[in-house]
Amino acid sequence: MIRTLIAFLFAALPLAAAHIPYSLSPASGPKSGGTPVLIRGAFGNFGHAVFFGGVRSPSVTLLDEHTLSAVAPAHFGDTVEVEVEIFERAVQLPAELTYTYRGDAPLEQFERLLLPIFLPPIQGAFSSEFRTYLRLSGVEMELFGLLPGSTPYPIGPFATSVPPPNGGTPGRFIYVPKDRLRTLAATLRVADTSRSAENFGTEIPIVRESEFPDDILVLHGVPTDPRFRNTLRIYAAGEGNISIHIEGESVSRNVQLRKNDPNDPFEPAYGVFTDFPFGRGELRVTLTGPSLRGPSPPIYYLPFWGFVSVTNNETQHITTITRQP
Amino acid sequence: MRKLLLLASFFFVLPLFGYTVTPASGPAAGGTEVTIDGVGGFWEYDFVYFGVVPAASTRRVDADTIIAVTPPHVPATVPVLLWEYDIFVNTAQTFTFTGEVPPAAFERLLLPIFMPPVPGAFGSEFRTELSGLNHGRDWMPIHGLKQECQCVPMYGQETLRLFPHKTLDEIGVAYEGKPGRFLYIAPDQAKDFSANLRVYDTSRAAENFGTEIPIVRASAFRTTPFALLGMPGDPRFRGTLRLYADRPTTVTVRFGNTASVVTLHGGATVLDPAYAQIGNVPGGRVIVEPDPNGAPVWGFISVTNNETQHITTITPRP
Repeated sequence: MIRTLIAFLFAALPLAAAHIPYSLSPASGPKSGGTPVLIRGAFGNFGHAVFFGGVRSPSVTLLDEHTLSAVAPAHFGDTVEVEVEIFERAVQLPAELTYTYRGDAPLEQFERLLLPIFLPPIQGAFSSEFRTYLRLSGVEMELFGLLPGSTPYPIGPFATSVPPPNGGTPGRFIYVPKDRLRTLAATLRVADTSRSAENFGTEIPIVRESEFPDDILVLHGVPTDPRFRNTLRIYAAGEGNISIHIEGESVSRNVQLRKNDPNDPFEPAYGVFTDFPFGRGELRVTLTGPSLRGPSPPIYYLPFWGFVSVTNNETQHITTITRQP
Repeated sequence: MRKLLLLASFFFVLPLFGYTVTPASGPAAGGTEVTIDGVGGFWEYDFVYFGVVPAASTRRVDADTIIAVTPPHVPATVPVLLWEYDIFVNTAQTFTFTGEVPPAAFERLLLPIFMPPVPGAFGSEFRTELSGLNHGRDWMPIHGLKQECQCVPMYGQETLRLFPHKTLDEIGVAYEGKPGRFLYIAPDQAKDFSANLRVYDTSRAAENFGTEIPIVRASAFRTTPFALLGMPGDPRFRGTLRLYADRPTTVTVRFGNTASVVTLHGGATVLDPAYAQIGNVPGGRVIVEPDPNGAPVWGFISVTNNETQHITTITPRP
């Protein structure tokens, strides 16, 4: 009650203490973060948190009752609003207090994870409706890629269900602060809602960047039973060409991985292959990246990842075939 | 089968002369100098194998003596063999590797489900299928896999040798997990091994290709807490939490506000993971807290529909 009252009083400070101009310096810095930013205003002597575009500053120091020093966190955004919280209540700062992030996306500060399937509901055969379910929990952190643009998505210790965005390719890159990755728990599942009484769906792996090979990826046991259809989906950070060899065939095929927006760090380059043979038992499928097909030593590396979804044509049950171990 | 026996006999010859092997045991880490004396003499290009694993080095001292340095090997008693040009000669002697598995000598992989066929409800029969390929240039010993065919004496061991660009399907493996199994592959060869593990209900093979089960590296085992999210509370599904470690240990498992201490009991050999399972997992989030002073732990939940027997996994991600 007292904390709420104090927070209310401080929230009203901009009116009461209008003679203390609010300012922020410097007003810009690299997207990798780390810049100490001085925020001047009326802050009292209580605990503070500072948010840059929805992302908590990793370090805030109250220098005096009029000055905070906050380290700008890494951020994918451009110009973002700065928010100060006292006792978990936001202090209304003047709207012009913004911070501008410059330079390249802060990939070094984040672990990139691939959600291979992260789509809104899709209608399928026999009245099926495939839905994607993503649940997350962890120590308080902000993830990028789950909301449109560079808007961060906060998560905490209690599991959160995250709705997929609209449109786009089936997969999505999300970015997790490297220092919080170990605490993150996640599960990704696709399920046919029309058959929810019979089966809970299929777990889809969430893939770390380190699991992307740049040379070869082998998938075993792809069925060629005509009762099943196979879809090979391939992902990479950039556009390129992946060669596919199906066991028993003398020629390889090529799949071109494309992105709608080459500058979008959240969209994987993506390609799909469905032209599998029938009636030849279970086959091995080998994917080869450009580093193994070009000159030696390679001049072009394209880390990629792919998997096969095996769907029963009648029941719509899905089985995944992924790279192991 | 007949062709296989003929092929095996071509490559494998019973001893015509007496051999001695000294010493007859050494640490699993390898590095033991073993002296092999043979009255019949040795060819210049003889090479020594300990089971299906080549010696780290072989040196011909004279016509009657070879010295071989043992390779790293999981604890086991194996036959000592000579490879002469294109044929194996059995010395009729054995060597016993003792002690613990040297961690740096192998990449350890967990096959969480690796069982012979298991009958289930409603006429179901669950089978495990392991597919794998050696896409390297050298023979690959895989400790923990036994060849299904027992037609050659050395194939009775728990180490299988996978030829370059050959698959496990071509060899046939014995499924003997309880329910899981550890495999051990030399680190410089592990990158050349790719595989897939699947469980499926043979009675419903027309409707459902089964469920992929992850093959888990040792680095994925945790000494810090991890969570498994999204266990359904729907009574039409039953959940089983399965926990694995490389030695006996305890964990605390939390379902909501309830906490239980669970003991993972050790297997008979290093190939058998310490294991525990909890059935009837309630809906919601499950938190597994390994003993910080105990063994690293990995676990997952299998969610089974009580009627259709369809299985969904919930594994620790990312």
